[in-house]
Amino acid sequence: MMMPPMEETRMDAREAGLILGRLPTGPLNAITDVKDVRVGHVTLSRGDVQTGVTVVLPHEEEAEKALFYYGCHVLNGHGEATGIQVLEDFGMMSAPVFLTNVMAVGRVYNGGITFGYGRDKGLPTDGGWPPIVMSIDDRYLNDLRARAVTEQHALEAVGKAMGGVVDSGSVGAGTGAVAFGFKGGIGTSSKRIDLDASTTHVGMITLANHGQREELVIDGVPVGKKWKDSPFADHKYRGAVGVVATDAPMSPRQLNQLAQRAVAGWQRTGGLLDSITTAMVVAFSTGIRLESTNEVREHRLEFVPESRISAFYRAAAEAAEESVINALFRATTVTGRDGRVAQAVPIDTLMKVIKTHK
Amino acid sequence: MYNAITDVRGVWVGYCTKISGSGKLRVGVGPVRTGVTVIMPHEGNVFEEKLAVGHFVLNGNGEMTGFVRDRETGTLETPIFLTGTANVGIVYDAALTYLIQQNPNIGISESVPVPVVAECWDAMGDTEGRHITEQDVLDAIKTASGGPVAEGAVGGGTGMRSYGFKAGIGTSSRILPEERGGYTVGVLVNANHGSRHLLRIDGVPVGEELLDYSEKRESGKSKSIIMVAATDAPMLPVQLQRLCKRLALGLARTGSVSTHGSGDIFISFSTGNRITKNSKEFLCVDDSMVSRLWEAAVESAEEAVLNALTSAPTMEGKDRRIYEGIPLDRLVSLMQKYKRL
Repeated sequence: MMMPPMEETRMDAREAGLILGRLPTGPLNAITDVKDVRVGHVTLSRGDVQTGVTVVLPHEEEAEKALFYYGCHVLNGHGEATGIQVLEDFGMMSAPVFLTNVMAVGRVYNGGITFGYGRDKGLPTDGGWPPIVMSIDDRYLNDLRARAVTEQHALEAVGKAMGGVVDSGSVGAGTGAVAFGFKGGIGTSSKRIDLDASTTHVGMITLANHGQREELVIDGVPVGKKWKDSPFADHKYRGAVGVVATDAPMSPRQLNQLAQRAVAGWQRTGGLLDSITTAMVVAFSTGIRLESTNEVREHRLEFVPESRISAFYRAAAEAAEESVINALFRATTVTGRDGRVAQAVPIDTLMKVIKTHK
Repeated sequence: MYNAITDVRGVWVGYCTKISGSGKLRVGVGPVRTGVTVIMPHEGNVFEEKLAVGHFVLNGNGEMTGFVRDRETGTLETPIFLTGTANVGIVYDAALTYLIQQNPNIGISESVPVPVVAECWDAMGDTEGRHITEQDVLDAIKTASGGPVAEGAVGGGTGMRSYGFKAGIGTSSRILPEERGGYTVGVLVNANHGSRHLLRIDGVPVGEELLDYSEKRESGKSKSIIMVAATDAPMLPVQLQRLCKRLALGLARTGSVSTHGSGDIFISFSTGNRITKNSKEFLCVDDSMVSRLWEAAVESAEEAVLNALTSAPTMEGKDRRIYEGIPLDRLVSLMQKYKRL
């Protein structure tokens, strides 16, 4: 095994000069460009334990009973997404979306229950339930069987959740992730769309733990195939899970489409086709906030008209694509269980390969 | 034989019931009215030898973990656990502990299973206190056996109410005649759904007739029923999905309208194939056979719901609220009045 370099320069793809897609990004180029969205991470990195929890919340702290429209798309459901019956049947909920490792789902879910009681004592009657928990298998670097994640870590992640700059790379649920033979992890991106007089965003956060080295495609360049000289992590339990959010008002059906386009964006960078590769995206819109009460008989809703929706679908695909590359560009080398190493992708070398090809 | 899901050979049921304390609700203390019911899909190792599975979500205000994986693969790879809403994470985690004990390579050289845990809202007790422990779940698994199944306020049904009466676990089965394949269909439900006025038994408006009986204790906004069907008829996942829809018809015969707040989620599995990583052959019934199986499913589902009601005795819940069991004497005279008996 190679020793990790002493110092690694990490940056977003754009900072490295790689401009993917054609839509402009939001100010942070992060999912938190979407109004009210908060992200929190808990990172567990000590020896054989390389894992964590990431949470995405669709609301500000004071939004106790608000409900939002949700959607999802499952390319491969070989994995878990709790809360799926409410999500698919109602398309309306208020759940935090937790990302963690595949063996921590129960405990993180239990943390979500505790969080739900904090919001609403009538747990399943209102916004605090059910928690959505999606997971990846990070056993290449992480000792899954140590079961290091606890309920408390889920609550801690919620406590740390905030808007603004999102930590990415080898953090939170991405701590032990491996993607395309390199160190994977959390990546984020956003796209700006002006809808009449208002500025809206589509933001994506991806937990990238998928892809084999030779599958990696960046900006149409099959860089994975051209790569010869680095050690690669041969991770067999691959998968990606993610969240696409928008502050444009969208219906559950539109949000299903948005999630579907996010998966399409993921596929621009390769991978995700194996039978046991998890690939699913949850979508929500903070653009409509409902309170379901007995006093309200009807809701007058305004959604993005179909004549304008394509730009949002494109934005989801572009943000998803860029979030995967940002995960690779942000992730730092991690040495995990049994001394295994997943190297950070060498950005300089990678950019040379791309430039040579272009 | 037992008029239970265990009539499907190899299907075992176990449970643990947690009842303690009385009086005012004190979070973390009690009263405790909860539990876990576990259905072991076959007597072997279901993680190694998976079964075909199907689902139907009649109304989605509920949770059944493992749904996404099982729907994708069409296989069931863990026991099925029924419990209270707040316990889901704990039971899920404990199920994983059990599966690791049974399969020591999980997470090392084997994939990590996604346990099936389904909930109803057992608000008769201290839900927030989450009084189920990992050991309770492991104990429930240890008690699993074939034969007669305890019904009513036991296991995952301990704190449940249905149609304004005390309810919980109910089960029933049907066996097709030999010329129809001789297959068995068994259903087990955790009934926590419906308002009093809706209840109908064999077409008799029992709920309307019993509106005056005691103080009605409705389930609040969150009413749910989880229905589990097992059959030894070999079936493909698509056929099991179709079977699952028929459970809704059995439920409807008891008067349910599947209210907005209800988590009416159904799962069915077939013991007719053991599926391993290298399985190539699959046995399935011809579609000309399925209508009689649907009939068996509808009847078993209907009767399982009614058994949940008739088996559950009156119980006191938090804040000294009494949840009346359906009065069997009144029920008999009603059925006589409507000439069903």
